[in-house]
Amino acid sequence: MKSDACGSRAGYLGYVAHELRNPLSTALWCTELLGSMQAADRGGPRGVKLALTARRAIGRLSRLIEDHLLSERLEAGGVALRVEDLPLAELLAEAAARGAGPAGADVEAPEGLRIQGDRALWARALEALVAAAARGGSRVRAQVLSAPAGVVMMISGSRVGPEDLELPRRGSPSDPSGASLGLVVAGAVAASQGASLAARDGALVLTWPGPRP
Amino acid sequence: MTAGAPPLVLVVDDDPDILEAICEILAMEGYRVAQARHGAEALARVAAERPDLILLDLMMPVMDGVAFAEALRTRHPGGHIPVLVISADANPERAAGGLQARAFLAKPFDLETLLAQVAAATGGPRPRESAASPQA
Repeated sequence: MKSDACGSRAGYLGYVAHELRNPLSTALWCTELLGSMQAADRGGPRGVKLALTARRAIGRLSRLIEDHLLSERLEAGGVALRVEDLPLAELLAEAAARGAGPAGADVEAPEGLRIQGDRALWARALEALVAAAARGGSRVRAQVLSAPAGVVMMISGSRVGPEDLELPRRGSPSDPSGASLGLVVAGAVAASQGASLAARDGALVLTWPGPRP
Repeated sequence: MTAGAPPLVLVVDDDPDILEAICEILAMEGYRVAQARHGAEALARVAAERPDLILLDLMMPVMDGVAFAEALRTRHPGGHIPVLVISADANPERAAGGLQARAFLAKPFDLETLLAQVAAATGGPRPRESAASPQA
């Protein structure tokens, strides 16, 4: 229903605004404090700590803004896709290396399996999925299966439920790393390239329908 | 307030960077600071340390700001500790839903506003010039 859709949209944008204001506050306050310090003190332990905190907050802010804008542009059909033949095992291994935490990841994918898609977007989406499964320090397990009906990728670790794939709303938990819109981006990337993202039995399941060559 | 000691401010927020930044701001101003990541942790800190002021975020896991304020009133009916609500909601007073607070500050609020509110609530350190230089 239209009013439900508007309410959901407003709730989502309220969540995004809330997520942006926290790191924005940190960055503003830390830089203001640094500006109020004597030059010599800025190089001391307190100055260095403030600078690092500001840097972390700006990085988090940047990630949130990029994720939000990308998901909006994908939804509006405003991203020019560069579709090419992609080696899925290689893409997944690279995403696991970037997105898994210190606990690491086990990746199992048939060599030679390829998908059609935009490399940069899939790299970002897969990293977000691995990072979501790695929350709380979980070790990630990623497995790809090829079947006549299509390719299925399962990523498990920290439990992910169907509710986690809904648009976050005001009151949803924050993510201090700035990754709180990662699943939103991954869902938008999948939808823009003919794939689907779901949560099943606590795992993230990405499906590319159709027969493989 | 402990005799002779600066006022103790308890900062309650689930965002570690916000906690770190506000505690640093208050410490540089000359306050003693304690911190908690959610309402339940804050209740324990109140019982152990009896702060002079609480800076309270609203949206937090485990126990949010509104639930904390209710629990605080129930557990310490006679001992009023002033609360300043600090929230990333654009309208913290509305988001607080009737929570009684000394003031409601929307992030990112001005540091001078925060420090003026904290000083007024605690009678603590000012002027700003001396507080601007870092202390060990």
